[in-house]
Amino acid sequence: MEDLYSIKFTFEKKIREGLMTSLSNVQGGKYYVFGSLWECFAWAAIIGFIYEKRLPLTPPMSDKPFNLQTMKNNGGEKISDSLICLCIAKEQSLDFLKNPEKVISIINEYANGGFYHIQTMIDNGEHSFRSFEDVKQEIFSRELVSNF
Amino acid sequence: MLIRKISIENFQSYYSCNDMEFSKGLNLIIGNGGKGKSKLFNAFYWALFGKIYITDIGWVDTDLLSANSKTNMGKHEFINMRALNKTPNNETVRVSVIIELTTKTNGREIDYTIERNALAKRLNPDSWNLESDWSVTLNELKVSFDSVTGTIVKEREYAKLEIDDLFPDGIRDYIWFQGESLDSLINFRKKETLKAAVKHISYYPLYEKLSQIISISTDKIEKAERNKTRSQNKNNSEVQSLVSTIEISTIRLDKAYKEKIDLENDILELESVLQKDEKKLEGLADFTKVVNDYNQCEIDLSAVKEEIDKLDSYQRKELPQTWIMRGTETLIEQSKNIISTYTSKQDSIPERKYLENPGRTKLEEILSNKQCYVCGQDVLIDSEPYNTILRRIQEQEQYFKEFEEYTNNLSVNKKFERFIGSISDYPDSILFKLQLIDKNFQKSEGDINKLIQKRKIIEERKDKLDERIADIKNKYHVDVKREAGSANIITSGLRATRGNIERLKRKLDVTTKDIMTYENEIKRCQKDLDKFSNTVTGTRIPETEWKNISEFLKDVCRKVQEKARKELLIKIQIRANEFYEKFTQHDNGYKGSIVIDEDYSIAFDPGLNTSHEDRKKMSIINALLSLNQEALDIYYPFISDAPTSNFDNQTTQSYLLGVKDMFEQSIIMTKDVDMDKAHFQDLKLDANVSKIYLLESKFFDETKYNPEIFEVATKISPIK
Amino acid sequence: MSKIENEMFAMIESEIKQVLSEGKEKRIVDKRKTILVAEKLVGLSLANKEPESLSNDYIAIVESVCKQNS
Repeated sequence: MEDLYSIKFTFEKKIREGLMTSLSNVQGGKYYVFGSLWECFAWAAIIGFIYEKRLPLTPPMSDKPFNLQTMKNNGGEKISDSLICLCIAKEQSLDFLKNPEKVISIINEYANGGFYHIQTMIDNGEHSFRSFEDVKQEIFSRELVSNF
Repeated sequence: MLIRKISIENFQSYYSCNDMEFSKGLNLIIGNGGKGKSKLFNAFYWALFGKIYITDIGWVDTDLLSANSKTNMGKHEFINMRALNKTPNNETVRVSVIIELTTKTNGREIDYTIERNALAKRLNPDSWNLESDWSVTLNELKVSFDSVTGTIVKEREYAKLEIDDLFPDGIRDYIWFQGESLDSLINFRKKETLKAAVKHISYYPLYEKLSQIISISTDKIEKAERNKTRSQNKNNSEVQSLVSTIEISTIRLDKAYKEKIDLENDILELESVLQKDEKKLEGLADFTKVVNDYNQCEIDLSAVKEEIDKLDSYQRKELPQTWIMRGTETLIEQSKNIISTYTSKQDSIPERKYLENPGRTKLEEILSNKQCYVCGQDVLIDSEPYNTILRRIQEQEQYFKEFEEYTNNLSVNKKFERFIGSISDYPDSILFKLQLIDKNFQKSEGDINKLIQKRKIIEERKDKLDERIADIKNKYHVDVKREAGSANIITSGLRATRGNIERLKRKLDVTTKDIMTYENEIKRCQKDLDKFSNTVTGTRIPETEWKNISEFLKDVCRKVQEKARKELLIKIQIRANEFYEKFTQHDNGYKGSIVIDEDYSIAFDPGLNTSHEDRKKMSIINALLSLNQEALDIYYPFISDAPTSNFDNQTTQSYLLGVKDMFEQSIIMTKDVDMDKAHFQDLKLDANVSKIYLLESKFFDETKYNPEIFEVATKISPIK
Repeated sequence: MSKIENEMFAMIESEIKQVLSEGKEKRIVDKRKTILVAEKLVGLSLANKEPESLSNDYIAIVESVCKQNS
């Protein structure tokens, strides 16, 4: 059984070259939106989970540069934890966790859905996501359901 | 004096020969900018004085033009461009201006013809518009006029002397009126300008001359009287000594007077130096403080920027690590419930449903032997015993399988349990973090905003200081970088200057006391001397009577002079206000009036704008000129180039209406006349408006939209 | 006499008369002679010469007036 933390995430080549590149200018100066690919992926995944946007991936696929361990190593420990929890919430059971490939695949699909949703938001003018401020705005305009 | 005609040939924008005739009254020359108006003015000035006006520099002698000098204008450039262009190589072109005027002295009229010309020879067949393409002669002046003996022609220096007589130096600036120079003629903030104007163009100087004559004469008479007294009383030692004392004291007194004046002047000079240095120092002190403030601003600014950067970095770290999770609370809660309600499914150990003995090997042996090794019975394929044994083998197999699965599952499950154990804390710790997101976000946003406001304020402060620094530089003429350290030098300079002033003042005191002493001495001696001349008849000398009359007249003249000065200023004020009334008659707002003080200062009225001030200045100049003419019976033509550029059309109109009645002849060049308006028509028909000329551009090539300079010249069209 | 001459002379004459009538002048001067001299002096100021050379003319005038009217 392959370790859950070492399986690399997969995303569509189209997404990689489009949105992910524009959102995470890793070579850029100060004014990037996200500092690395996994951050932007995590954000898309969470958007997918929150807005229930799950989309299977269509080839061609891009290269696979990171996994959950990458996140844990770079300050994204809580993100990695919450991605797992979110999968649990969607699958409504824990059994699927026995199959790490499945877990990663679920996250891939929510991330994919998330990216498409982000593109829709850009296309209909809601956001442009060209700056850090735009992402802040998206995050802090989400509705919170206070049930605890 | 009446100017009759000007003939311009190839001078500046005038190509070939152009004539303009003038009469008494107002001669109006209209032309919008660039059409030759100022060039006409230049033509007058050049004919008489050999100079043309160059913006920002002033009147320049055309013989001194050079492309390399401050004027940046070639020697040939005052000559008409088209004329130059049309001149073939090795040929000469002539530039000349001729003025014909008539003066009236003692009832006699004299006609003058003043001609100035120069020649330019072309040196370069291929080029015509560079200084090096031309050889230009020095300009020559010729003045000819009638006299009882016939026509007299004066040239060179003699011609210049004639011009100086016709247009005395002091008055030139006022009758030849360049609109731009209004401020230098009458500057309300510098009363010396009015004092100078009065001196130049009023008859007040005559009173001064009067006083001078009587003063010099009185001194001479006093001296003559002394000498006579002395020689007539050779044997009277008392008289002799009195006369000597008076003589000596007079000499000393004169010396003391001179010294007093010198000292007073020196003190004034030093005080002005003091003032300048004090101002400089003030500026530097001001400046040092401003520079310090400025530096502080920069420090503050970078501190604020650093803090903003810190907060920005904080946000950029927190967002991908925590804030993006905002809004997942519900789902995380769900996962928490799922995890906590998870009960591990326990696999049950598989039942041993089969018989253990014999083992699988033995059973397989029986099948292959087809015989039971216990009872020896045959075990044939598909027989009941066969199938039973097969079944038992299968059950065994099944059981092992199930057991293997069970063991496997056990380890997988253990691993899984461990995993579940490890993630069971996740939801709570995530939820804890989620709780703090909004609070942290708002705090950091709030802090950033506060810092941004702070930065704005500092930047505004910095901008204001930038302005102040530029101001101080202009106001105090302090080149900061150079003189920042020179405050000490200036301070010690100030000390020295103050010391010198003190010293001179003390000297002045002494000299003043000496003057009093000498004056008293002279008075006393004179009194004693008078006793002699009064008591002894026959020794009275005529010079005494002359002296008494002269001294008396000297006092009288002094008083009258001062009275005349004050009266003159009042007259100027009244006449100037008459002009001012006329110039502002169409103004509806507050206009104020001209108020001139006894000390030549002109009252400043903060309720007025530049246009009013300019009209006041023009009124004063016109008043001076017209009063002068009336008093001295010398009439100069009033020649003015665009005094009206700051005026609107209405004001220009009023100005022209005012001027035309005040001067015997005026030649006004203006651009601001709207020829279609009704009042222009009125002006045109007025009898005092004798000539109107319009200056326009003449294009030699009608088809060219953007003509070269040599394809355009000024065209003169008479309208009246 | 030109307008300015008239004006100047008028002012001087009135000043002379006033001072003498008030008795403020310590020196003893003959009013008629003084006024005559003043008149000629005004004429001098309008001449086109320097004050220095005009002063000689003045002295000649004052001598002549005093002699004539003694």
